[in-house]
Amino acid sequence: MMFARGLTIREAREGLDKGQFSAVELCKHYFQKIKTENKKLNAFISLNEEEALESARLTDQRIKKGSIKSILDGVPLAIKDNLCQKGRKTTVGSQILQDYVAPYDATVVRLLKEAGAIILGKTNLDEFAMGSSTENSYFGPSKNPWDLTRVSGGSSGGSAVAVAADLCVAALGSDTGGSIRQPASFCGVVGLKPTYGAVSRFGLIAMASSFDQIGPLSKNVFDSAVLLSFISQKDLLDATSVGLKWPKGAFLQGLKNPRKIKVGLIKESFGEGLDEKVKAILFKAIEILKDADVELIEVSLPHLNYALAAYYVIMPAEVSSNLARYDGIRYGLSRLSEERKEEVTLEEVYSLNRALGFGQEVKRRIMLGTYLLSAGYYEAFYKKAQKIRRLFTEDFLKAFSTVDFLISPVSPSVAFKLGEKTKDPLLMYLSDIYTVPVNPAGLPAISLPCGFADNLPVGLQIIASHFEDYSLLQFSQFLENLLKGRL
Amino acid sequence: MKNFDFALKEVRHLARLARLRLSPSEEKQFLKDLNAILKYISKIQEVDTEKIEPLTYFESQKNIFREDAEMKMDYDLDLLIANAPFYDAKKKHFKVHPVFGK
Repeated sequence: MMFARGLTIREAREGLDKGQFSAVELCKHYFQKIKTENKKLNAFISLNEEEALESARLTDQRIKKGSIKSILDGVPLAIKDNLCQKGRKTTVGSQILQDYVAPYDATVVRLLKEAGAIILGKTNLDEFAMGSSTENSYFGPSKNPWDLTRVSGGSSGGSAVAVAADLCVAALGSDTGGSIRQPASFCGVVGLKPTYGAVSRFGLIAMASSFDQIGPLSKNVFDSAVLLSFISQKDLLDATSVGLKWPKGAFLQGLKNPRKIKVGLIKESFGEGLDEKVKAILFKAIEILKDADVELIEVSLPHLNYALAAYYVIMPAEVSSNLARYDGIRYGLSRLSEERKEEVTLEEVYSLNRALGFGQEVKRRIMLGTYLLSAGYYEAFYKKAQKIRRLFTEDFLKAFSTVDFLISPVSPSVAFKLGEKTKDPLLMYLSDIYTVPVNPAGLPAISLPCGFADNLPVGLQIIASHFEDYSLLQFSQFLENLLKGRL
Repeated sequence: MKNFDFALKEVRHLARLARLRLSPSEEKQFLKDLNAILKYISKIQEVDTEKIEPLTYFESQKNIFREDAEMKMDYDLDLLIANAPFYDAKKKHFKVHPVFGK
């Protein structure tokens, strides 16, 4: 069995440079494919045909002149629909922004355009990136290409499906508690959540600002490394952005000394709650590492079991604050007609527009966050959660003083059935138990496809220390190569 | 351990604070959901954090400076204004509802 089908960045580049196809032909090929496949997969919310073909024509001119901008010049990509693209609809999967047209480019979009990449369209997501299955999208759920009765994962489900089904070469998503890694795992693609601060979030519609990070989803590790190298630049428009010091000229050199690598298995993440079949697949990959002389030890992170609870305090608190801007005045849905406008007060306008525009999960998190930040509960919850955040972050950092990487599952199960968890929000939250702790700790982590359980993909999570994104990718490519032909 | 419980009265108060007009069925649903979530997240109370400082940002985020100069941003003002439900395209301003009374 094979994971990713279709073109990788390197293959697209070679095809374009050797004249096997033009950028316009490649672009048209993808639009043709999207038009037949998207009906069943629902990976894209909107397409960008005219602008994409125009960019492709410019690429073809550059190829003729021998002056391409970068390895990405003419490569068709998809972006999650919470990233602003100037003049294009940016819905964030919500009714409240269903007609919002971005007046500027997100920094990552600008960087991709400057590299000559073609943006085919905007991919589906849970409303405001809140969810683990895309079932919270106002535009309906994306379907898992391996089994159409199952979820794609979320919230970057549309991007994961688009990559897995080869409706684009690679894609961008965003990850607040697993929103790149979990759908990548469910769809059998590579998904990377970079270090907090590695990538500018300017133009990313905010969910929980101290956790949000943009990252790539791709068919192999190399492509994620290429995309990260273009988007991880310091940006004055996002004060938290520091960028990455990327070794120039080499997107990914092979790992020189695997024998010197020491990897820790997170003890708390392989216990109760993990599906036995998933566990067996993960241990097969771990055995392969052992056979390659990588040193493996078990590592305990004693406060990890409190990370999900702490996350579900801090995240909704930030959500309630970030989403206060949706007032139906400067942008967003407004059901009040011009005539009735004089009859209601401003407060009623806010309450009505927000009630109409937001879906259930968004409202639930705003309500929870409003409660947790109110007087009398702030100390007991918000401040307490930030203290626990320090405890498990220090657990991680202590582990990284003895090991280079940590390994855990991405998700407790393979992709679950559509509708299986929609009635119980807490059950849905628990499906992110292994990915969530990474975000409050600000660490980089990857989901690497490592096998199949019941014919559905399983991802392995590899976590590295702050700003070790490059070595994380090197090690992931090392394991990817070891796994080749053994799946 | 202290019990954090919601009552319907509190759900209504929170909805008012959050500027969300909830339907009676939503109020009932959220009462149930929020109590279940609160019960789960209350497990953080088990941990002794007496001498622990809250983690609010990382070292890499400390004191990020920039020049005290105008930030150049490439945006389209007409597009920006046109996103408002009520606006004046010529004068380039938003139209808003009365703040006090009707």
